[in-house]
Amino acid sequence: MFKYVIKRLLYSIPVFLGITFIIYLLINLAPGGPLSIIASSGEMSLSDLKALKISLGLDKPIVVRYFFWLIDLFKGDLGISYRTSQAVGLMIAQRIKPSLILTGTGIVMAIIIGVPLGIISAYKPNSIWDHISTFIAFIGSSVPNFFLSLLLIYTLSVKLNWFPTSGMYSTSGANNLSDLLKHLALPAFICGIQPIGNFIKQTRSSVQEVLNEEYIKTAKSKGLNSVTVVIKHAFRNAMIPVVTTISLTIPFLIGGAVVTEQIFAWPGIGSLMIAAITGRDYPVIMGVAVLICGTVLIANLLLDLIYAVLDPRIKFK
Amino acid sequence: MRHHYKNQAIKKFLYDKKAMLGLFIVLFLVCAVLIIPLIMDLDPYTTDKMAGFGKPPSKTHILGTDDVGRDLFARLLYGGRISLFVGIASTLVSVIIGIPLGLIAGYFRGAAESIIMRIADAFMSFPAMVLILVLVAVFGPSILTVTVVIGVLGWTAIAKLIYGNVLSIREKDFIEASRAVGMKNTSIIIWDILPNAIPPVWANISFRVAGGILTESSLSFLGMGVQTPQASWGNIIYAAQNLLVLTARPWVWIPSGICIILVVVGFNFIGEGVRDALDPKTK
Repeated sequence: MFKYVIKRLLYSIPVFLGITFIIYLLINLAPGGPLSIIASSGEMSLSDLKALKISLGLDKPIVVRYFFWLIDLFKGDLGISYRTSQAVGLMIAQRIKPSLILTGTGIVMAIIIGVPLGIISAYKPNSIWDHISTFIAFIGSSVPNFFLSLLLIYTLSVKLNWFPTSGMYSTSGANNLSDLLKHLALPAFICGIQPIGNFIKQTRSSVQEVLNEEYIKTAKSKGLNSVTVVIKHAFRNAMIPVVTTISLTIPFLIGGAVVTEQIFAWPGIGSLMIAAITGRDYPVIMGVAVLICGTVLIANLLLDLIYAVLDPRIKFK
Repeated sequence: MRHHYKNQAIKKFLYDKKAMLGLFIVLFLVCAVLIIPLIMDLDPYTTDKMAGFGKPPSKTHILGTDDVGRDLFARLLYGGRISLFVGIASTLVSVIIGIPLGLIAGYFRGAAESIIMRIADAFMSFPAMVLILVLVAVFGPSILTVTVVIGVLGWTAIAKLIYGNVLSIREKDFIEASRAVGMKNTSIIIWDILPNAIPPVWANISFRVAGGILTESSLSFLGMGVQTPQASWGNIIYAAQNLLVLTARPWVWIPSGICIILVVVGFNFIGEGVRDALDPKTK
């Protein structure tokens, strides 16, 4: 078990270095870096510009600069934002909680709704639950998130006035839980709808497969009632592919939340990312990329551990 | 024998109601965006000062005008051309990159296999949307950037599929036979492996086109994709980020949204139909 964790951990290091290096390279090759903005303003002479370039370390080769950036990263220094002149680490830290609340609610909702629906529709094919599941999965895979968001804002927020159109708390300053939940409902639903579909499909097919196994037939023939069979025997074995779906959902959810956060003006990492990209604020883009990359790798590592718990065979590999 | 299998798959596809509905929707939309602008006199770029700005549907402008007075019906059709183009062209890019890499990894195994597949894993574990946004920010938003970026980042799924297929095909006797008669690796890959590895990819290609159109529309909706004055279904909806347009002028953004849903459903149905038709287990 311990060896397995170490192996996974070691594997994620080159992935982290690779992805951050690619992004670092791209950003530094991009036109419109900080120096060209300063240069075009014409406030500095050429020699001053050169001095600035050296003091910022921009005269060194890119690999060396990446290396220095990496050292700073391990010291906890993500640089200074070009736009706000704040420390990038601080800017990101403020945004983590709202993002976690949003994506966390989305994925928990997706699991709570998707997994039971998947089990029921595998157990009773062509029932009303099966049809509802198919419909939800269909909406999730075919209606673009941003369009569904607009439709919901248009009908539920504007016409019916049930939910606020955007933000995390009311501007009136009411900072309580019920206010948060009201603001959270629509964006969290949007974050969850596509994953719900994935969970339904995955759970349905894996439970169906398990239900055809010999040991389920044995359990049934022993006279166990079918609910016990499904919950005690089928569930655990059907969960392994579902865990895979969770691990595939996480990067997707983080990406999707960028769009959702933008639409609902949710003060999270996603909207920070969009603001940084439109403002060409490279240190912030880089910081967000590091955070997302780290989150994804850690999440995958945790899920690998859950696998090992669910499936004892993995330990021997 | 192979012919028989092929004919049967085509027959199965043609009798699949859902697949036929998907095909009909896609053909209908493709014909509409290609032909209607040829028949009607439509101009998606010029302001109609007579009609005014942000006007509701009328006889001269059947879907009304946008906030700078351009005909929205014309923009819907020309936007459809661009959205469909981005979806199809980006899939082509993914296929062109993904197929050779999948073939190499699956056929030669060894170092090529571990490098290519590890890179694919790394790409798949990172949120594509975030990478796409970074790339678009670096190269500047345009139809070309969006197409290439979506296409390049889409290679992993295709490569993995091809790789999986090649692994089982390369162990077959007829490959051994080709080797025994002295065929070169490249010939074996092109003539023996490729034709057998490709069929399962067809379904994925259809899903990818749908996915490409979805990604393009999300990007354009964020203002990071197709830029005005050019239209795409996503950037028409961009106007609805303004609460006034969202609430008071639903005719601006709802038709584009419906078109996106239709085309995505269409390609997904075709993909499912192809997948079922090629699966010998389903009837």
